[in-house]
Amino acid sequence: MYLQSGKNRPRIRSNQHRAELETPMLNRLPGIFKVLAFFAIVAGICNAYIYLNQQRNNTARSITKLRTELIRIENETINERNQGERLRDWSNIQAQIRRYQLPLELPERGQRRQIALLTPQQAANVHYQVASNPAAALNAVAMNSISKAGTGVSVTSALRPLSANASVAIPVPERKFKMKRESSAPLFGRNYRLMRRQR
Amino acid sequence: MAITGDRIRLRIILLASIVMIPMAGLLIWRFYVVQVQKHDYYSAEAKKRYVAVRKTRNRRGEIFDTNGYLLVANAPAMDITCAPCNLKDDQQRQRLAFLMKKFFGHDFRRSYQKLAPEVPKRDPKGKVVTDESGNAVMRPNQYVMIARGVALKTAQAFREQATSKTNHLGKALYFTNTSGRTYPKGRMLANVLGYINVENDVEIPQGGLEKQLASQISPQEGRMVYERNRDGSPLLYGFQEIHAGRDGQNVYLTIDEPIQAILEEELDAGFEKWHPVAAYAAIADPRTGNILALAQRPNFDPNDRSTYRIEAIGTRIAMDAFGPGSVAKPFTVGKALDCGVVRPETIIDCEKGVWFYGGKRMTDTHAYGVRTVSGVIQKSSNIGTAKIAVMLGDARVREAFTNFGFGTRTGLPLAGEHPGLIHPLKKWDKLTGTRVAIGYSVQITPLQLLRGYCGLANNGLMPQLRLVDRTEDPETGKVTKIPMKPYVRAFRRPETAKELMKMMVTVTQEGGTAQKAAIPGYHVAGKTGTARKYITGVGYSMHDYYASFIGFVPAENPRLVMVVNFDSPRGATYGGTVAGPVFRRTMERVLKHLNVQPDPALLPPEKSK
Repeated sequence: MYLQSGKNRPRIRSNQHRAELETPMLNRLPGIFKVLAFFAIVAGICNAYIYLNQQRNNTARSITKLRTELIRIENETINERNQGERLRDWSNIQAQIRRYQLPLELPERGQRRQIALLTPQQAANVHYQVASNPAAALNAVAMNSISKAGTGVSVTSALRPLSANASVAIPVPERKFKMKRESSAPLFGRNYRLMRRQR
Repeated sequence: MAITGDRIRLRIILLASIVMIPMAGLLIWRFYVVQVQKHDYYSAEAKKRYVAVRKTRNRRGEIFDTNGYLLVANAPAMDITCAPCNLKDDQQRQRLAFLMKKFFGHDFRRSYQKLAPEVPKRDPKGKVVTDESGNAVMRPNQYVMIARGVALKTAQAFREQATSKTNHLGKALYFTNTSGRTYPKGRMLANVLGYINVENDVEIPQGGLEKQLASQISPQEGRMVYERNRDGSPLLYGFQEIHAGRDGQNVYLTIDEPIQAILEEELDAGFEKWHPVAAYAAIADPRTGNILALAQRPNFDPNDRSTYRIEAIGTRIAMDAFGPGSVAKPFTVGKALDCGVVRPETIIDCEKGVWFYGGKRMTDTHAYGVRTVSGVIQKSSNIGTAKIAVMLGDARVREAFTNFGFGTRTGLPLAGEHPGLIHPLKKWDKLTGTRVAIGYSVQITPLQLLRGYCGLANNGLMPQLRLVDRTEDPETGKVTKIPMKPYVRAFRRPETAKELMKMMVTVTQEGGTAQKAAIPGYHVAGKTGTARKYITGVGYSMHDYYASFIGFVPAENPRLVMVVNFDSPRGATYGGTVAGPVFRRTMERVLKHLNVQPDPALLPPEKSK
């Protein structure tokens, strides 16, 4: 029984009307709509499955495509490297010199220089005997400053070759003073004044 | 009594039950058989369809020189195959045959016949299957190899043309990634490196280091087992089992490419000038035994199959053993010095070029009279050396050679290396000692000579020759250095090598037999050899000789030892004339390359300024 009062209260006209009012909304729908709703949900799930499956397959295809592309690029790189080696071949270079009649000669002793890239640790381990050539020494010192910056560049000159590996050399500039800092004494106060006096 | 509705219904139900219950029972039984009893079988069958196995091809290891310059490389390539049954019509068949002619030089008619859409069916034994009337039964032609190992650029160009709108051949062609070998340096070191044959998609190394180092260079195949979808792509969330393969290890040799190039160039020049049957040369560092260069002629280009000839393939510098002749004399004299039998200034009577001993005659090329031991080496007197051998005794003559490793292999990874031959003492007669002392009645390979001279150059400490310096794992970058083997002490007295070296320096000075091997600015210690060639069934030839020169430079502090040998040169036969200039030209350039300073006192006056 509805206990509402007022002009908007539902007016029950019959038992059927009462029954209708008392049943939930969902149950009032005709059966066809329920069936349609059920099928719609099933269709929705199926569509979602198909869509996600397609996305998954597309992703797999993209992965395969990318892998193929990577392999292609890798193969191209290998081919370019091989081609570079073929061009570097001495017989090929000689043939080009002859073909274009280039006025090139093999370098004389002392004309050949070689630059090798070393790590800073390697650079610090190699000794270099600076010859009496001041130009070479300056060059060597300049290179040493670069090596101190961390690139570890070394230069060989046509000077005294090293024992085992003549292509590697690191200049070690001669220090003009002996720093107090080399000892364990801290650099302040009396030690600092002594150091300044030595300079 | 009338049959009521209930009874009819009951009868229908009963009838239906009689039919449906057995059917249901059959279904349940079948369900049990498929899902329970034969579960494993059907599961395996299903897996066969959706589980794929893919083999991953890994890369063969590459070979580099000691500085990392590439000698043998992998070359990505493509195999192009065709399914002629997928060709639409005869026009497509003709277009494809035309493309095969254009890109690969195939004969048009043969290609056209090869692309027949149907071929006769064959039984497992290869016999053609015929029908009742005797006609061959045809089947669709599904596989034809168009080209194998095609370079990527060529394959790409072929693919573009084949799949263009004009040709429409895309559905009938298949492109498979494969890998071949390329040798960027061409003929350089070809005999040592070897080559590869590809059979049924399997790489088979043929000779050289490709074969000897196959266990290190060859890759290990990987396997990937995965669930796939209809397209064949792996399922993202499916089962995957990966057995990772392994790339082959990269190998770094002791060969120095610039030195190798110099040696090959000079050996080519010598080969063209003297037209020998074969020529060998090798350079080594006597302190470490590292072989810096190794060359032989004739050789071949591993990239070009048309250059393969039986006499050119194979590492003959290790396989060919011969009587070395006079280059063996320093070992005899060295042993005599070491044992104190002679001194460098000991006087030997060379009998004016003719000496009878043991009922046989021995001669020298010139009539030498009385010489010091140093002079015997300088002039390469057979009689002088034979007399020293007599003073030494057979056992010590044999020891002079075995101490320097003659008669044993060098242990280098070169297939078919000859161990050489020095007969056991019990087979020696009265004359054998005198003949062995001058390099006859023995067989020695050029590599053994190189090793022996490294021992002479290194103060009597003979190193073991090395060709492989280190290996590298390309995936982890880990480098494994092949360690040096211990030296073999060949001389008891350390002064022996120095004394012998001084004698050998006189060979390249005025009055010596190898003045053409002298290098301005350096003392060169060496020995020439001109040995008659022994022909099986005939004996020692009167016309064919082995012309050799072996030396080390600088003599006081040897950096390089080089052996040069010419087999049957034409136009000249002496080692000093044929092999000496090759030694000089090669060493001049190599010393310049290594920046080994000359002694200013030894330079000609205008050069020393």
